Amino acid sequence: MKFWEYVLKRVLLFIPVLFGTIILIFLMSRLLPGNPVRLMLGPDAPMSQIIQVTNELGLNKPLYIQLEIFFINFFEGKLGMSFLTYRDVSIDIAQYFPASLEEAIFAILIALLIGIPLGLAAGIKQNKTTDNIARVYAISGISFPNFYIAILLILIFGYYLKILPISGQINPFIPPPQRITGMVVIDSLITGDWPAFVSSIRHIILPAFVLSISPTAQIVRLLRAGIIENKNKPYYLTMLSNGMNIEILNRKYLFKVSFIPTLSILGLLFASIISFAYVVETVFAWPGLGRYIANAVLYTDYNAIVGGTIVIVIIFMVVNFAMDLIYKYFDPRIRYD
Amino acid sequence: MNRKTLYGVIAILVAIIVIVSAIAVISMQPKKTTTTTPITFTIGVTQGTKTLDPAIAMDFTSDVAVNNLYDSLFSVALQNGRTVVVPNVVTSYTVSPDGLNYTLNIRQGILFHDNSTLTAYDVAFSFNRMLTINQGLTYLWSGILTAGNVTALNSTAVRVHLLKPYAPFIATLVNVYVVNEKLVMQHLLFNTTFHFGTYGDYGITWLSSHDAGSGPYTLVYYDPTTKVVFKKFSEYWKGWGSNQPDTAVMEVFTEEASVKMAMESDTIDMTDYTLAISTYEALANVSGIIVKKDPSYNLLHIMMNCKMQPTNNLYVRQAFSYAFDYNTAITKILPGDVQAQGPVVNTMYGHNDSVLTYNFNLTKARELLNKSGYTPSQLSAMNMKIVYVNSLEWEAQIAAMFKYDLAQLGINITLEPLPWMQMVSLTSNYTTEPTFFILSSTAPYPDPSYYLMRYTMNATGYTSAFFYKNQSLSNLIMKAVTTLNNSERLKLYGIIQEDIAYQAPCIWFANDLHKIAYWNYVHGYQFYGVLGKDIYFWNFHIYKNVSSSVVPSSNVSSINYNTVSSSGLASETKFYLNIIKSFFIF
Repeated sequence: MKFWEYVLKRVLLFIPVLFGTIILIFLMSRLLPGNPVRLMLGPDAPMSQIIQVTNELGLNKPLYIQLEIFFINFFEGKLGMSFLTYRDVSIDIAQYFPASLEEAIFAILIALLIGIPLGLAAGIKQNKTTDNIARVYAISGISFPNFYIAILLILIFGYYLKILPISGQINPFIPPPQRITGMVVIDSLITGDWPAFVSSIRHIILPAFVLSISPTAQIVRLLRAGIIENKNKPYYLTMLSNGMNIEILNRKYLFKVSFIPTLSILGLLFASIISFAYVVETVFAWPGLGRYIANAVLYTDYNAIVGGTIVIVIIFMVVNFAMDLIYKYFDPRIRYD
Repeated sequence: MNRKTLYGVIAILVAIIVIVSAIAVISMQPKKTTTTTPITFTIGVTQGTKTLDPAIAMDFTSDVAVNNLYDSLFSVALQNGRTVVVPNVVTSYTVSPDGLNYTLNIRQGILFHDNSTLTAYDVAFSFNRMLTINQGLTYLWSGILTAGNVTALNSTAVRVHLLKPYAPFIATLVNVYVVNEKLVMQHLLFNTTFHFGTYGDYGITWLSSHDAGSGPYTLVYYDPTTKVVFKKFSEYWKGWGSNQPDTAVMEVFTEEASVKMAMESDTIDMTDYTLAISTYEALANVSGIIVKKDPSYNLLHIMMNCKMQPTNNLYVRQAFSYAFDYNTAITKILPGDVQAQGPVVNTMYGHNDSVLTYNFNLTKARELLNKSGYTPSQLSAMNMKIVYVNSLEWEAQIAAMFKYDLAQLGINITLEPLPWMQMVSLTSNYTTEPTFFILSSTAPYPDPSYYLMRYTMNATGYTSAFFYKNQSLSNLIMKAVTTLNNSERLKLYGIIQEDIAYQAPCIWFANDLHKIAYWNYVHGYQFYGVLGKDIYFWNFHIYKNVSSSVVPSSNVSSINYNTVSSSGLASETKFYLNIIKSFFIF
């Protein structure tokens, strides 16, 4: 199979996965307990008011008609009105997704920045102090819930040291930069809005760091395991015994081979950061998609639940696909058969 | 791109991030505000803003936003410690002898934020729009007023024709805000979820995130889940005094711990009223923070299912009312609250002080149970449940205490904490309704009718006394709210309260104490009892980092329970150490 045939096949597979997910989530959201209209209208709303709004929202129609309407809207680029914000869900997603994406990019960069050197050092210096420190970090990073670490960091950096802001994406008194990508750091950089840039960097440090902890731990563990496995292989020992510079050997050969398993999960880690960021987004009042979806579930905001989930599904599909393509770049043995 | 280039790009990106972050962390300390810089004010709230549309807004944060962006027909003020309705956009009114026709005279010289003039046509448009959309607080006029019955007589007078006399009508007008008709009509959308004929969506979509008001502040930035930023409207008709905020921010922190820390670190100037009692107590111990406590319109009660056994029995309901330990509830669980007396909050104008008030009396409860014909073992076998919001600590404590109280009578009930949505879904039918349901409700206007209308035959909301229906009582309530003579109406309100209290459809256990924390440099805060009306930025004067000679002597006009203690920080550390300890324990 040629490369482009493989790409086409994968892209075509997106369609049934996406539609299957939409139908599943659409039906599941309707199974959530509670009448969203009652919640919209409040405790004293008379039945006549509830009936009127239920009809206006089309919630009185059979489920299959509601699904049909959803798909008609979907092909027109609309995801239906959010019961919470009174806007089309696509507008809400366009507003909140960039914040989550920005946060996830920073988190994965931090994870790579810390995880690769630490994993490398731990593998090379197996059972030494460095390795022990790295293992403690890795186990702690996986074990500690991120909301707990978030609160600790808020306490230290926001409350006692007062050097980092504890909530939001930018100082409320600094006008946000002109919206281009929706990512405040990038937008402020593009527009040369330095106060906004500095403020947004200061705001993203804590949430991105908290989100990076678990991926860092996984990178450290995988990379360490890869290094330990490969440094005992004959090719490594042969090159070492032939007097090859150990620095070059580790960097050019050992690291590359050992990094392949890590690379295979990198995409999933990135998608997971976006999908499971709602706790951290809640603690740091970060205006991201995770928080939006969590709110939607709490308030039975049907369209927002379905719309948000579609985005998460697309992220997973695209990232997995992209990682499959990049994988070949690192491992030439891969064939698209 | 070859590998070297790829690594190079990654290395440069990482280096940029590290360097910029380090510079930012080291160099950017929070800036101190001086009087020469614009005066800013930030309130930290625990829930997002649902909409900015005044026809739909009915939750706290939306109400606060609307109250600052728009002008209401009438407003509220404090007179002799009691909340009263005062003119605002409407300067005066006349009412026809039959109580059906109101003529509202509109204030002249009010400008919208686009500098156009507010007229009676805008008022009529706004009121009719609200009635047509039929969401938000429109239920206040259900069966009393329909869309189209509000007409502008000329640019300064509006006529409202009611379907039947409704005495609290003027009081309800504190919830009618005026939108700029011309601006709204420019932003109608068609082919959306809501259709109102030629009016399209009546501007619902646009107004949910835009401002078309004449209030003291204009909208600068709006994100429903994180923050709303307001800017002073310099042409505001009431004018401006010294040190009122130039910019106001409502910042959302969904985690209570984050609000607390933001308050303690002076990141925000004020909290909202939704925090736990322990949090207010901790904040009161921080030097410079004031925790203001006021009696509120919030009535806390346990509703009983009046249509299902055993609580369809009057004696059982009365027995349960005597089996509730009111004193423990208001001293240990909700310190500062006062015991409720009947179905209307004690502080409300028209409250009947001599109404039957239940106390904790197990002997009396046993006598009434004997009269009811039920034995404790029979009642225990009925699998009675008390449901409450699973995230509210105080409700869990009240439920547990009540379970303990009933256990002393030999009756066993089940505690059932649920998410609010699930609780609401149970109330749609009396067969799914639990026996006990903990609820708090606040009047959106200063009149007892709000609390009494839920006992009428037509009431269907989930506060409608859990299917308690009594035709003669319903008739009496309807007679009261249509009686224009004030003293006669108050007399009827009194009789109704006595009747309802005797029937005991609910255990009214407390009148809540409204609590709010703010820094002592914030002056002018007033609590009015009506949801959202107290956070009116125009009332606030901020004296942060200014010379003490320019600061007025007192910033608390009523009760102040604040205690200043240097041990605040120590207790804070202890609080978090305890959290950390508990984490390791569990």
